[in-house]
Amino acid sequence: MNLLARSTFVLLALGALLPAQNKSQEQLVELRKEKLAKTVFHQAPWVVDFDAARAEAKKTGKPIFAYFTRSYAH
Amino acid sequence: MLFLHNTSRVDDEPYPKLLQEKGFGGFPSLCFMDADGNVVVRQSARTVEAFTTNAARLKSLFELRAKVASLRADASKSADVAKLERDLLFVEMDLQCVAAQDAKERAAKLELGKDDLAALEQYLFGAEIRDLRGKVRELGQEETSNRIAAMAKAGKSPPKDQEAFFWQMTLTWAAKNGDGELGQRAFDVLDKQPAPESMKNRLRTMLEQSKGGSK
Repeated sequence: MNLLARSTFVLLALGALLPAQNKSQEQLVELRKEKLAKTVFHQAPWVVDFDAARAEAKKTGKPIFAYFTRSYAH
Repeated sequence: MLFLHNTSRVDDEPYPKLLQEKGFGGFPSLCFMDADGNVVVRQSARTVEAFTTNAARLKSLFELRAKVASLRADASKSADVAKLERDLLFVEMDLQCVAAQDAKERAAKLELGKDDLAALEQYLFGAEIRDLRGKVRELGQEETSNRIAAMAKAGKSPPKDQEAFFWQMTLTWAAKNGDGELGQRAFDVLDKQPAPESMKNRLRTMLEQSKGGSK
């Protein structure tokens, strides 16, 4: 990874430390709904419950491919 | 098994700190986990090629683990298992999926050569940095840069994948505390890597600050 990518990563990491721009819980709930409603998350069977994902992985013997995103900053 | 974690900052969110707990600090982050939720392979690029490569690495790792487990059960193959235990440890270190303490304990049971021991030491140092990186929010940027700078002042150099974070934190500390020598060391590493001019200018400004320029 070059410095630009790494720097972006670090800046993103630091950005993750910022408060959610004084958004109310209602606004954050709305943003979460919008994020999870995105088409990309409905084109494959994404599981959003970590416990359920682990239980399913144990049951099927398959690994978990995890994607971490955020909704509070949009 | 596809798992999507969304950090929402909504009060009822289960596992609100999962991103940090898994050692990540930015969005989006991708990885493969085992069925217990332990990160096994981190994926830096969001490409099909990276996914395919990492899936293959994951398969090799799981096969190696299965082989070691099988040999462990057979006392007559203790010599074979010792070599495979070493190979497994280094594959897991390469994938950064073994905890520092676990790596230390397993290494202590193996007869490692000089090069292996040096690689282990570097891995443990990298793990220490990754741990700090995951705690930036908890510690704050100032305390994190204090700790990283202390390592740099002790003459330590991070693994390649931790260089940018390590030296940016060090340069930040040096700029704030007026340590020109340390600032120069950090700058020299960061300056060798491609970056937009705005970022280069920012680094130069911090270098000047470390040498007593305007803060």
